Amino acid sequence: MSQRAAALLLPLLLPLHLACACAGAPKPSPNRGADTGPTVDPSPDTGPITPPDPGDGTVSDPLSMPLHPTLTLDEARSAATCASCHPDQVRDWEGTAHAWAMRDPVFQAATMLRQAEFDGAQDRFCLQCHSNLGSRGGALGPGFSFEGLPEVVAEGVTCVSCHQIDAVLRVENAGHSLDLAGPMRGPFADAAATPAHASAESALLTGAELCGSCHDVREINGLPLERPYAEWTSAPAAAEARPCQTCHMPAATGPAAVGGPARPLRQHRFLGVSLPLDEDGVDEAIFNEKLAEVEALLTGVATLRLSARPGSPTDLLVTLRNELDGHAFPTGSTFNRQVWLELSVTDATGALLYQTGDLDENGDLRDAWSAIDPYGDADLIQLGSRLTAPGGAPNFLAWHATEHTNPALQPLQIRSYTLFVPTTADTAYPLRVEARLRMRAYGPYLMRALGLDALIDQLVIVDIDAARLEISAP
Amino acid sequence: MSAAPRLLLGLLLGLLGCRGGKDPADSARWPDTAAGGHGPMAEGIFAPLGQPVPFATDAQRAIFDEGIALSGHRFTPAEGLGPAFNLVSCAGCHEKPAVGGSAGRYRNFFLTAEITEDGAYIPGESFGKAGGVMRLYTTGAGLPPRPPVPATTNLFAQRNPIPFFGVGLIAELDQGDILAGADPQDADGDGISGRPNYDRGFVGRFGRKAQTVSIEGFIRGPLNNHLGITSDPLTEDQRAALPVDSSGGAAPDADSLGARWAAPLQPWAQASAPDAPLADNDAVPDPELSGGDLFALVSFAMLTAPMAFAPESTELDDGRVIFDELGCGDCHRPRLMGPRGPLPVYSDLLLHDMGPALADGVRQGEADGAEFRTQPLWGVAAVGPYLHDGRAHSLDEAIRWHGGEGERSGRDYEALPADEQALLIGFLRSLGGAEHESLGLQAPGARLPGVGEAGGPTTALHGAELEDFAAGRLLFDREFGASEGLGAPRFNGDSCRACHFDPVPGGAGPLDVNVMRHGILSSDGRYIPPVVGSVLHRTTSLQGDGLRAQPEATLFEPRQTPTLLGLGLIDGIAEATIAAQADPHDADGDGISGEVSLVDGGRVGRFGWKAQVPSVAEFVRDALSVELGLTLEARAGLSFGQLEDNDGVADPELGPELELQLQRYLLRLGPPPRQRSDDPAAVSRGAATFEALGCAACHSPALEGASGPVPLYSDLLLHDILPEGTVGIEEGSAGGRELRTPPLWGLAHSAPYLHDGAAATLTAAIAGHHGEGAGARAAFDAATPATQADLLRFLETL
Repeated sequence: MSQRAAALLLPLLLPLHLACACAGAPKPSPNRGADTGPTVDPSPDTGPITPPDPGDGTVSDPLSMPLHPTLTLDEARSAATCASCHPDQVRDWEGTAHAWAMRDPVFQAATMLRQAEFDGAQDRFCLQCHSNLGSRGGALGPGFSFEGLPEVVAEGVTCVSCHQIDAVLRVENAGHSLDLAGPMRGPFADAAATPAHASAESALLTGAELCGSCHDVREINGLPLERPYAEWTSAPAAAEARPCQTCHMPAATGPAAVGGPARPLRQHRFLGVSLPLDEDGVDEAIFNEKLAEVEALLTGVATLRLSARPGSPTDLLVTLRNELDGHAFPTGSTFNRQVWLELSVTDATGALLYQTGDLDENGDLRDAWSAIDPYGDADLIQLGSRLTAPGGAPNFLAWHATEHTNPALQPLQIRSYTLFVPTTADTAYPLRVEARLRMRAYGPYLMRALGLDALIDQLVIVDIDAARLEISAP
Repeated sequence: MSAAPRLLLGLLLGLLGCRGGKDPADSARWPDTAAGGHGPMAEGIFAPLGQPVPFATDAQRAIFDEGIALSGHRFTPAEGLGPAFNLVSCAGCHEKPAVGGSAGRYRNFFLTAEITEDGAYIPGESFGKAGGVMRLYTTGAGLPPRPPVPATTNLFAQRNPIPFFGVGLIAELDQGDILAGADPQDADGDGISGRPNYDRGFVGRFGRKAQTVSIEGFIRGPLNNHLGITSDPLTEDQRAALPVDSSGGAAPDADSLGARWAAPLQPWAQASAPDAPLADNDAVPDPELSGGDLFALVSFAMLTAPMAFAPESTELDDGRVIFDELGCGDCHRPRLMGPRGPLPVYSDLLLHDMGPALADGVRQGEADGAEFRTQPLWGVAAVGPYLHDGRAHSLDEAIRWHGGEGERSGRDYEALPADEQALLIGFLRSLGGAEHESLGLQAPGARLPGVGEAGGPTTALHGAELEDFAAGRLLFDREFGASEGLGAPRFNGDSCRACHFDPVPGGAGPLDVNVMRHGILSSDGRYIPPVVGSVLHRTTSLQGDGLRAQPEATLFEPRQTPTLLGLGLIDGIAEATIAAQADPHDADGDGISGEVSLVDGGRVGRFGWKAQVPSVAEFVRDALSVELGLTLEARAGLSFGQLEDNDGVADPELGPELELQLQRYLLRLGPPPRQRSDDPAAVSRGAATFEALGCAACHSPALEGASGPVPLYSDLLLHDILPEGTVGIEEGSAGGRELRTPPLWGLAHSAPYLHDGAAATLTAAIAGHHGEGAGARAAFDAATPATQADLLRFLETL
C-alpha cells in the first residue's frame, strides 16, 4: 500500500527533487582543499564519536541515527516478553500511539514517500524516535521496508525504548542513550528482585526530559516540527513540577508485576489524540476503548465562548481558551492535526445565513486542501499548523517545508476572532448561532494524498466544546 | 601578479614571531615615501564623514552640496517615482553612517533571475525590466500594489546596499594596475585567482560583482531600478566636466573644463555610461531627473571622500602582521597605484570565487554565481552589516564566512586565539570609520531630545530613569543580526528604527518602508489570510528564499508606518473611555458608528491600523516578533509575540529585560510636538472648521488619559471608511473596510497618509475618506477654498 502511494506521488515530486538537486549542487571551488595539510585520523579511543561520512547525503547522528549499529537488537526484550510479568502495563500500551509508532499507516506511507524522494538517504530521520531500537540496531538502514522487521522494532516505542534509557543528552530528536545491557529502569527504589532482569531506580522515568527527548522534533533543516516539551518548559505545569506523566500516564494503584504488592503506579496508556488505524481494521474493543479515552481526554481542553454585536453586518465574537496549563493546544504533530470551529447562523425562519467549518463532499475542510472548494471557507478558524515550501505554497510534507506557521493556543491563552455575519435591516431576528470546536487526527485529503483512501472511514471527529447563542434584533 | 612572495614573507614573519614595530614587509613592498604607519599612501584624500575630498574646488563643493541634498530628496509619484519602486530616495539605502554609506538589512533587496533548463540566465522582470531587481511597491491607482513575481523566476539573491565613499578615487585608477593583479589561472599556485570583470570593454570596478565601471551608470541604474526615476545620459560636455572625466570622446579643450578638478588625471578612465535614455510608463514625462540633477548626483558620488585612517600604534602593527600572515592582503590589496599616489583601498577590485556558502547564483558580466569583487576595506568599521547580502553582523562574522579562495584565510582566522583575532579586527577598524561605528544609525554620543521635542520623553526624567530612557532609545535604534535571531526567518526591519524614523526615531515612516499585507480571495470574493499570515515580509534571514507570496494570494494592501510618539499617553486611556464613544448602531443617527475593537479575552484594541493591539506591552511583543522576527519569552496575560522560530538561534532570542526596556521607552516617549504657525488666526479658524465639517466626530480632539486629556485627535474606534465593494484585509474585530481612526497628532511629519500611504498630501488624504467619512469629505469639498485652506493650516500644526 505504501509503495503504491510512493508510486502515485513520485511523478509529482520528481521535478521538485531535480530542482533541489540543481540548486543544492554548488560549483566546486577550484582552490578548495589545495593545501590543507595532513589529515589525522581521530583515535577511536580518545577522539570524539565522528560518524564516517558516506558522502551521499545520508542523514546520521552518532547518538540516534548511527551509520553503523550501536546496539544489538537480539539483546532487546520485546513487549511480548515483558507481558508475561507485566500484563497490565503491556495491555495499557497496546493500541497507544507508542505501540502504533511503526504500524501507523499514515506514518508508513509518509516514510515511504521520503524514502523514494531521497533514495533512502533520509529514511532514518523519523525513525530515530519511532523505533529508537531499530534506528540504532541496524534494522532501519537506507531503503528499509516495513515488512519483516524484527518484532522489537515493529513494536515501535516499546517497553525497553524507555525503560532502558540511561541518559538524556539532548531534549529533542531522540537525544537519549540506551543501555540494553543494563538494568530495567523504573520509578521504584524498592523493586522486587527478579531473575528476569536487574532493576534500578531512575529519576528519568518520572521526568519530562525523557519524554521530551522524542516529543520535541526539529527537521533536518532546523525547522521546529513538534514542540510539546519546549511548550511545557515555559508553562505553569513546569513551574509547578508537573511533568508529562502527571496527565498522560494517569495514577493508579496495583501490582507493578504479577504477584507483586499493590502500590501507587502509573498507567501506561500514554493518553493522546491518536486512534489506531489499520487497513485490515483494528480490534473493535481496543478501538472503542481508545475512542472513549480520546473523547474523554479532549472534552473541555479548550473552551469556546460566543458573543455578538448585532448590526449590518453582525459582528460575532468567538473566543477560544486553551484550558491546558502544560502545553499548547493542539500540540505534537500539529501540521497533521485539524482543530477547527464549526459554526452556523440561522435566522428566525431557519434559513442558513452564515456557515464556517463545514465539510465538503470529501469530508475535507474547505481550506487550501479541499479538492472541491479550495479556499472556499474564508473565515475558517483552524488551530492546526501549516507548513509552507520555499515558493510560499502550503505543503504537508515536513521535509519540503521552510516555514512552519503554528496558530496553536499557548497554555491558558485566550484568543478572540471576529466573524462577520451578513445581516441587514431586513434580517429576520432572532438569529440562532450553533458552534462546535472540533478535532480530528488527520484530514481525508492527507489520506488520499498518501494513497490511504480506504482509511478515511476510520477517521473520527471529536467535539471539544460547543456553544449556542441567540441574537436579538439590534 | 604574484601575491605569493608577500604571503610567504608574512608567514615567515609570523613564524619568527615578529610582532610590533613597523612591518618590514610593507616597506619591502612600497618605497617608504609617505609618512604614517599605514604605509605609503596618497596624501590629501581623506576627509571627515560626509565631506568632499580635500582637493575639491569651491565650485565642486557647491555641486557636492547640491548632490547630497538631492540624494536625500524623497521623490513622490508626481515627480516620477515608480510605477514600481523599492525606495523613495538615494539616501534611504545609503545612510550608514551618513549619506554615501550602507544600510541595515531592512534595506536589502532581491536580485532575481530565471535560469532556464538549458542553463541560460535571464534577469528577472519586476513590473518591467529592472536589471533583475525585484521591486516591492507600486505607486498608482489601477496598478497591483505589489509588482508580481513571474512564476518562472527561480533564482533569488539578496543584496545589501553598498557604501560608496571614495569611489571617485577608485574611478581615477588606471585599469592597468587592476589587471596587473589578475591571476585567472592561479599561475603562482597560491590558491588565489582573481580575474577582472568587464563593463562594455572596460575593467569593471564598482558593484558586488565589479559589474560596472561608470559612476554615472551606477547612479542611473539604481535610480531607475529602485526608484523608478528615469534619466537621460549626461552629455559629453557634462561628462567631461565631472570631477572624474567620464567623457568618451576627444580630450576636451582645457579652457572649457569649468568645474573639473585642477589636474584631470585620467581622462577616459571612466567608460561612458549607458547611452540609452531610460523610460517608464508612469504619467510623468521622461526623463524624470534633469540632466543638471544627474550631474550633481554623479559629482557628489565622485567627490565623497573616504574616512581617515586611525593613527598608527603598536597594536595596529600587530594586527597588520596578522592581516599579512592570513593572506588577507592577497585579495584585499592594501594599495592600488593611482594618479595621486598609492590608494589604500584594500581591494584588488577583482573577482574571486568565494565558495558555495556565499555563492548567490547571480551572474553579471564575467562573474559567475560564486564570484564576488573584493570589497574595499577603507572605512569598513562604520558600514556594517557586511558581505553582499549583509548576512554578517560584524567583521568577525564576515571573516568567518569567507570560503572558496578565502577559505584558508577564514579557517586560519578561526584557529587564531581570541586576542589575535581582536588584533586583526582592531587593524581593520583602523582603516577608517571606527569613530562612527554604531549598533544602529544613532551617532555615538548623540544628544537626547528633551521634553517637548520630537523624540523626547513625556515628562522630565532624571537619574536612572533618564539613563533607562536613553538606553531604550539606543535599543530602539539597534540593528539586530541574523546571529542574534533576526528573522523568523522572515522580517521587515532589522531594528525598530528601520521603519519608525520620521522625523526622529520613534516616528512614522515613508512609503518605502510600508509593510505589505496580503491575502487570498475566496470563491465568493471574501478575504482569506495566507498560511504564513497576512504580513508579506520584505526580506528573510534564509538564503535564496524568494519570499514569493503564496501562489493563490492575489490581494495586496500596503500599510504605512504610523508614528509611535505619544504611545504611552494613549496606553493610559481607560478602556471605558474608548468604549464610551462607541455607537455601533449609530443610535444618534449621525452616520458615524464607531465600534470598539475587541482583542483576545475582550481587551479593547487601540494600536495598529485595525486597532488590533490592546497595549504598548503587546505592541512591543507584536512588533519584535512580526517585524523583526525575534522570539520572546512567554509572559502571563499577554497573547502577542512569537515564542519560537527556525532560524537556528536559540529561543527566546530577546530576553525579557530588553523587551521591558523597550516597553518602558515607548511608554515614556512623548507626543509629537505641536507645530507653530505664522498665522494663528487661520489655525484657530481651521480648528473650528474641523469641528464644523464633522472631522471631529471620529478624530476626537482629546480623550481623557491617565493624567489629563490626551490630544490625539482620534476616538480609537473602528469605522467603515473604505469605498463600497473594497475587499480589504480583515484583522481582529476589523472587517475589510474598517480601519481605526488614526490619531492626527504628528501629522506634520507623518506623510504619506492613509493606511496604505496612498495620499501624498492632506488634501488627498481627505479625498480618501469614504463610508462613514464620506459626509465629512463632502463637507470639505463643499467648503470655500479659504475655509479649506484654514483647515489645512490647522492640520499642519498637529
